[in-house]
Amino acid sequence: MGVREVHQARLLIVDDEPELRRMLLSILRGDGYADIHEAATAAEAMEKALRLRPDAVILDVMLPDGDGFSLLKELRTFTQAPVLFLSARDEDEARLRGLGLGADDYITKPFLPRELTLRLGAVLRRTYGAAGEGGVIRLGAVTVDMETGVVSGNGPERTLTAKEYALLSALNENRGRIVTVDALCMAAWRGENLGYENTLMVHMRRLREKIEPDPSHPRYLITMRGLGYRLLKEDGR
Amino acid sequence: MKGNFLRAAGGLAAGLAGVMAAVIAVNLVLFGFAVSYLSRTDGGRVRVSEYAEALSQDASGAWTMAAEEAEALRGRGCWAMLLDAGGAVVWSQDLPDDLPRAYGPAQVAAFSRWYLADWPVKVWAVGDGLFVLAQPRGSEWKYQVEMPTEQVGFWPVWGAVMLAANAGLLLGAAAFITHRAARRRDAARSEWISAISHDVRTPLSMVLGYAAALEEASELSGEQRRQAGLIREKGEQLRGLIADLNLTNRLEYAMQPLKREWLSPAALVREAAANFLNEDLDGLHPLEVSISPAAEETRLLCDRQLLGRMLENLIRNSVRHNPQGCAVRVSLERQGRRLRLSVSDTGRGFSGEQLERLGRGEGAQDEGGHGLGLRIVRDVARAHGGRARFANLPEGGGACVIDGLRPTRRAGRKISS
Repeated sequence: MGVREVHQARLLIVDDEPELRRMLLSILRGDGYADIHEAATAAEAMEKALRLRPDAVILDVMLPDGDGFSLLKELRTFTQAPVLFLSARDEDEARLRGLGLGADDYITKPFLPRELTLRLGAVLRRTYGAAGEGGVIRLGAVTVDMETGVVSGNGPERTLTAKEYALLSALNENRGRIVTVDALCMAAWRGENLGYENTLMVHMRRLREKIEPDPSHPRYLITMRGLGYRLLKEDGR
Repeated sequence: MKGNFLRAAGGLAAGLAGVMAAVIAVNLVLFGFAVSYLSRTDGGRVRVSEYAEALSQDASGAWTMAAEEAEALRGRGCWAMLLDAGGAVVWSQDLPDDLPRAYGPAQVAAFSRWYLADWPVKVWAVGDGLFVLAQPRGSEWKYQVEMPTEQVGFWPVWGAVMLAANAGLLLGAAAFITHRAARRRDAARSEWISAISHDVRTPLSMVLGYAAALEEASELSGEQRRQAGLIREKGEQLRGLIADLNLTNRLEYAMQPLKREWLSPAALVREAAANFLNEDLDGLHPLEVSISPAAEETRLLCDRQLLGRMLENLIRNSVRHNPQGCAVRVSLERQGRRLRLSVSDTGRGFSGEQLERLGRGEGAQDEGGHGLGLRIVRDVARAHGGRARFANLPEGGGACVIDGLRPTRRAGRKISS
């Protein structure tokens, strides 16, 4: 199941409150999603998930006929589609963390629309590896094809190494936002951040050489001193 | 939590004092009843000596009782007799016909202690004879008490010990009940706060969602979008309040234990700083993070959510107090085996009243906040073995220094940050 572009993803919203569903629908439509389905109960969610095979599920932890945790278990018997949990209780947080969510994520009510669409986009990109428009990251004249890892538009075409690819996708998932060195080390070295900070700097310098026309005066891949890095958006934010 | 324990101990002491006061009051009242009852019923008591002294012997050797006493005896339904040294009845008044007119030593010994044919009798020596006074059947209870002398001292001690043991049990039971009631009340309050905040969260999602949508709606005027932005901003403040309320709930009533894990405090600081900078759109509050190499390598056994909230509250506090803008600095360093975290700013600092409230361990109420934020900072620091101090810097601006975060250790191979 390949989603070339996150907004093409088929979504299933599961929440028993019709008003909240309507709001989620309008937030997601506003963000560019079009293929959105709704369910009010766990039973209806199972039926729709089986029939429609959504690419991602937005799931309220508390449902009138069961909780989201057991529904996740049932969903997992036939689909690996990522789940974004909605929770209204702090007590859920421990359980959600304890799930070892993997590709899945959770968001605590109340949330801002932007927070929801950011999380959902990140979850989809993590699962389906799509990177923005058509799997391509645009940095001014330079483009990076995230399907092949090929950088073009900056001299001769060059290919990203595995670490550079992991770092760039982590930054791109949070484009416009600061990603801490810890999160970057996590993305590239699977959790061991100790002693990798110098190595991280080396990888970042090499990544800059590939994607920045003038690596010593970067325009997109910005260092946030003492914190991490930020991949600026096209509009410079 | 220490505050919790002290409160519980205080409640317990108050409960015990109340129970003791009640016990004393009830005992006094009962004692008063007993005294008044005994003094009321004691009037009917017959004093055998008075009647014995009313007997007199004339020249012929015949005995008579003074008329007044004789009348009184009859009025009480008593009878009386006088035995001579040989046990023969030499005088009597109303002596029942079925009773013998002479008594042997064994009979005398028996009735002088107990009863004579079910008549409760009292005796008094008159000369070498014995005066015997019988009260109506069933009117008097007689029992002989005898014990070895060495046991005499045992009974008061036994009584005192039993009293103390019973009082102890009673107080223990009272304390247990008081304690359980306090726990139940805490649990109820905690559940109530959870329930309220749960019920507020979903509607607030809708307020935030639609306000944010209106804020970006191009068909609205600039002023209308600003108004929507204000709704969104206030909604976010409410969201912060609910989060703080829940955390206070967690810390104060200790309903949920801390979820401790070994984490990199440096990573937590960077995460909090990045979160803040990602949201800080106006750029009026530049944030600087400084982490010493030793602190970088330190791992802290801590609750990620609580520590994150503490950092967020400290940074937001600086920002909220300085809407005109100020620089914020977060630093983390090692002090021996412990960690010191400080958040300072170049703004206008705390007011004297705020510092005083914070020093007393209360929240600092101010125009933009609800006062829970810094209280949470203090409680989270304490839950992690540290102590939060608030002060104004000589060069201007406010600072919070958290000392003594423990325990620390050098970074291991594997961390979960």
